[in-house]
Amino acid sequence: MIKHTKYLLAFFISLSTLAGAQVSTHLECHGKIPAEFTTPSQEKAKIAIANDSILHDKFSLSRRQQREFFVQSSYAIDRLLKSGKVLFNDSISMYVNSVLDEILKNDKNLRQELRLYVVKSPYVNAFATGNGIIFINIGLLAQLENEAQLAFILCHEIAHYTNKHSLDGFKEQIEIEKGKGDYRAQSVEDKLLSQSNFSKMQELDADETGFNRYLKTGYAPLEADEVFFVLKFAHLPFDEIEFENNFIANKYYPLKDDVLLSELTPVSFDDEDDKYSTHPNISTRRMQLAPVLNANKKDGKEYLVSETQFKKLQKKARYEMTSLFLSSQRYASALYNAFLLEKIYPGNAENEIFKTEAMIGLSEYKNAYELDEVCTYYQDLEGQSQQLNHIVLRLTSLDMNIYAVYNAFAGLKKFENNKYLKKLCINAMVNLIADHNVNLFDFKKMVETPVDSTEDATEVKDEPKNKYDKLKSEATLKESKPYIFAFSEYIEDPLFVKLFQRATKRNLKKTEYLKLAQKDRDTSLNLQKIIMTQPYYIKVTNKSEEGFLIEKSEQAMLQVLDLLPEMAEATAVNLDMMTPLLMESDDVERFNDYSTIKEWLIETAYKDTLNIPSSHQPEIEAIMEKYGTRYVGYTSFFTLKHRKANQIIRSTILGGVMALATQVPATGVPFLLYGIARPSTTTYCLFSVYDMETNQKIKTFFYEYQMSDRKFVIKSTLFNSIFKLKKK
Amino acid sequence: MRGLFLLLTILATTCYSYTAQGQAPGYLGKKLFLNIDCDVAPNFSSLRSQMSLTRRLGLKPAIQLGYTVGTQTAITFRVSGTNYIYPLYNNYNTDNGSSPDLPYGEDLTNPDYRTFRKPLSANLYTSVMQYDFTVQFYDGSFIAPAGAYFELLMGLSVINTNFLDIDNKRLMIYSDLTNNKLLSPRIGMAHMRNMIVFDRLLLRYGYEFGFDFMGMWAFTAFSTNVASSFTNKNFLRYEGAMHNTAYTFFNFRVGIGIIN
Repeated sequence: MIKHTKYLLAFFISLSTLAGAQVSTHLECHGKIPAEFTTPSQEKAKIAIANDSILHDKFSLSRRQQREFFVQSSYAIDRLLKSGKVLFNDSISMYVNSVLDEILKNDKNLRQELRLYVVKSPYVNAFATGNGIIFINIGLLAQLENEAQLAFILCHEIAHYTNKHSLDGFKEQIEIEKGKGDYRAQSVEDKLLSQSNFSKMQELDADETGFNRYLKTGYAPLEADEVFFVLKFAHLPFDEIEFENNFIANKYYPLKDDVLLSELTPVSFDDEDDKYSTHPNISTRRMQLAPVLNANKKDGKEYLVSETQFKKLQKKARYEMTSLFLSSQRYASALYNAFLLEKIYPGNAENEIFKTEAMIGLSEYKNAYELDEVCTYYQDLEGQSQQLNHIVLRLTSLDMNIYAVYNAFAGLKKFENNKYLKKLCINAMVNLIADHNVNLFDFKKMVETPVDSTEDATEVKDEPKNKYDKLKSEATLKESKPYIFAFSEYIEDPLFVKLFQRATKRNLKKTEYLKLAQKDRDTSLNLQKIIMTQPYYIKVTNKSEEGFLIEKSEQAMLQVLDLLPEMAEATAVNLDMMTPLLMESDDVERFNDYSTIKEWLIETAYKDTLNIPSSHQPEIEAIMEKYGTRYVGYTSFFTLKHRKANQIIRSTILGGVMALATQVPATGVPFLLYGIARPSTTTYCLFSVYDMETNQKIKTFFYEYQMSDRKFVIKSTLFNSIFKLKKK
Repeated sequence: MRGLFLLLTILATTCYSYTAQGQAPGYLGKKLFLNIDCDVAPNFSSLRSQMSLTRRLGLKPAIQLGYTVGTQTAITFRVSGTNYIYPLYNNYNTDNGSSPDLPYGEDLTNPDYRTFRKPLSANLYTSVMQYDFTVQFYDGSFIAPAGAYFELLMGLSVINTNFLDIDNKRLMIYSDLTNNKLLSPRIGMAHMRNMIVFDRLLLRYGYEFGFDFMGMWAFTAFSTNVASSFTNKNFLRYEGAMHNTAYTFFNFRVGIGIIN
């Protein structure tokens, strides 16, 4: 029986894999890994403190505050650098850096101080750190219209660095929090307002200084003003094109009127309230620059480095942004992006893949009644994308699944050799069959071709002759099953039939597999090898103002990093520790794998048990083969230190009440003893294992200790987790 | 006693053979542990132990052998022992020719002191050996034998009471040795914390509540005047048992050990 189970499991897994011949289009790093990606934060802070490299006016801060600043900023930056989301030496980064070179061609020293990285994030944002790193998000690059706009953004960020806004912000925050100087006796609301005002002041300062630098370049000055429009409408997709219903529906099964929004909310041009915002509203920013802009209406170029490269960057950024939407389960946004991509860059297999992945995601979330998690409510939107969100919201779960299958197969018909699309198609079919209990016989080809897609496609011209003809008539069939002709276009296509049959079989296997998977969850994995990603460690205290203990957290994380391989060795498990902290500068391939795994983990964690393909599946398949395991582990620790004094006071009061109530003083003693003996630290640990084959989290071990995170506690946790995975 | 040891041996062997197959992990796979404890007892009964440093703080050394039978469960066998002296508030000594077999009575003219009808030795000397079978349940997510745990004890106290003639520095032993022993069933519970250093050494601390039933029964007998039918010998045995109960009612435990 066990043998049989294993074979069945292996068989289904081999069928269920979504890997195909699709070539990865995700952006990847190249060349040597910069040292700042592989160095621990505390080392960086030590170096920075020793050099005093950016703390030019260090005397305005106490020694402790200087240290705090370096530690805090190093840690925050490091979290991003080691997240796997930051790109280096890829085509986009290279181009963006060349624009920075162009801006600073007359300031070589400053150029050497600065590092510029692109972040794989769909949010429209760029920011500069105090130690000279500028980060620019893919989301912003996807929205920019030309190189000059990019140059202005970079000039703005350079100004943040040269004007030391990061350090000033830190100093100001301390004064606001402590209520010093002008901030004396402020309420919490006033403090927030003060912080917001200071931040806005810095932004305006960066606009001004940045624009002055921008004017010295050869870029068109007016493009700086255009950037503000880009930022103002950053909440909209990268283009506004009227959504076409036939992007998801077809003439045999068109969208019903009730799913369509008759009137869209127009895009608002009003200024947003920036009272508590970190950035001033766009009108304020434009008004500030207007005098300088009017005085400098000279000619300039939109492109100094390369228009072709910019267009390539823009296209890549838009594709990457759509992929990021998919991996962050923003399926409705991804679907509208896929629509835009098809309009702007037609005939690309990636468009079909994005569309299919998004539709599968939406249909699965709809099946699980959790659509609100992946689709913004249409009334919260404005512009053309509102229509799509309304359609998605109003469609029934069955219709959504049907359209997912239809579009998946339509995409496959366009790119018949794309194996990945074929697998996506089967995936969509399995979901339709599993969640709605339909089979191939539930669909028929419509005999009568409708004259016009907008007219009723079910109009029957010949009167039925007898009872059975009446029952079999299209009108009757359609009344009982409105979707019956949805696949008219493909129902007689041998490939469609073959894939549907395969999906039906797989659904049966899936049911069997789910039972096995559940059984597997309850037992062990007989684990031989596992990839572990960088552990996550947070130490928090409410004993002091410090709160989050940054340095101690990192030290503890490094300890876990040491202990994990040790514990794996003790349990005879082959553990591959995947973290930038253990990588050499030449390990860029490994870094890319780490980056992919991290993104995949986040994506998979959110999907839970839904049958949705991962947007990283092809790369994950390659990683599985390369590292010889299908399991990825992730562990996180959290320790919370309470205030012991409060605990003792509480126990004493309770003991006192007890003693008074019973008139026996001794009865209060146990309460007091409990207050003293009760530990003041709680440690939590989560150890999760994910299966790359099935895209699911398969094991989670949760630990809670009423004790500080002593070494033996950590060791015990890790050993026990790995042991349980290893146990036969 | 022999029967008890036999029972424990069979139980331990069965558990070992069962869990060895079951792959109960224990801390880093280690399952066997041995502790040497020193129980520190606040003295609730004005007893004085020969092992105590002060009159108010009694000591009770113990040795405990344990085995993890599950991820968070361990069984142990624990032996502890102590002795103490209880003053009888009399200035008489054994040379006065008293006899333990005479009926027990109290001096009604002096209710603060219990006296014997015929003058007798000044102090009681009670030695106690406790044999406990315990089960440890580890708190939260701790893996035995590391971390905090709650322990249930069940066992026997062997209470041996004699006279101690302080003036003559002699321990008076009854001629009938078997009769001055009392076997008392006992139960208890403890809450402890085990810390592990260097993956082998075990440091621990905690507290224990224990109840010796014989002492409780004796207390009941004394308080309901049943004691009036006692002989001096009975009185002394039950007096010893009663004070033993008070003595071992609450202990702080500290100890060290090894795990393997």
